[in-house]
Amino acid sequence: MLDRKSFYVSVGKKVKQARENSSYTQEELAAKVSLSRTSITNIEQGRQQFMAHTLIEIAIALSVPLASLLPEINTKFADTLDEKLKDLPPNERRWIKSTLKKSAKTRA
Amino acid sequence: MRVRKKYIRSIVEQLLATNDIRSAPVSVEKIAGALGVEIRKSPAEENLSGFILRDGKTGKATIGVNSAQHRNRQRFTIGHELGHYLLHAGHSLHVDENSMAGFKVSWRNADSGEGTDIEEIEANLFAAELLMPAAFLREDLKPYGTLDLLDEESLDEAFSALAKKYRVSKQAITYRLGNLLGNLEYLHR
Repeated sequence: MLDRKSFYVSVGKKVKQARENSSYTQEELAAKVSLSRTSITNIEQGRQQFMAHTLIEIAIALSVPLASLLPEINTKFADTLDEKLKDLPPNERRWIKSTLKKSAKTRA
Repeated sequence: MRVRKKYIRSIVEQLLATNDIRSAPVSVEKIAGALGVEIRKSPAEENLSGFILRDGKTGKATIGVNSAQHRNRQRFTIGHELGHYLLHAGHSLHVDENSMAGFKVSWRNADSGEGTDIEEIEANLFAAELLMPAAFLREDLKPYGTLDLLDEESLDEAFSALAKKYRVSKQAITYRLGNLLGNLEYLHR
């Protein structure tokens, strides 16, 4: 399964970069695609799971190819355990790893 | 997005029915087993309560529980993580920390937006519905007749007895009953 959270974070970063390259403010971009500024903020932060046509409208508004706003499909989203754990605080990472080593618990 | 109260109740009612659970205490481990979700326990610091991990390739899910916490708390944690499992399919790893208010989030990508708060509320509601189903409570409250809300001692006694029967904390049962009282749909049904 695709890690949706990091997908949207990654798209958000690309949208922000493209917007800044075009020297638009969030308000200006928002007006062009009929969204609120808050929505643009949320998209750029990866907090909003927008619809496909929204991304196309953003690409058109910023005059960039749609594909340039999409992340490369590579191991970044391939869902390995180490990849999932890498941004966690060390104590959480340790705990999760040691928990997974335990044998499965049957009925308590 | 709004908290999907009716949807959550209907999923829980279905789970209880298919697993033939008709009275408290609800075995969350049995339900996890029936869903094919593995439960593993190991001790962690007090601020961590649980996590849910999905294997992208096999689709298999594992719930981790902090075994250093109280048994009743562990049951709530399993309920909470099962809620994430059934309600929030998009996340491959989700870690729950404790906070005073109940559950706090820790995403692997640090920012927590509004959406994640709703997901925590939904997972908490799922756990409450699962461990303390409204229909069970309605039956179990009958012997009390009318409870005097101003009689702290007998209220406390009643809540303690219910907490014991449902294997949840007194805080959890108090919060749950308060929630149900605020829910007109329940009162008028």
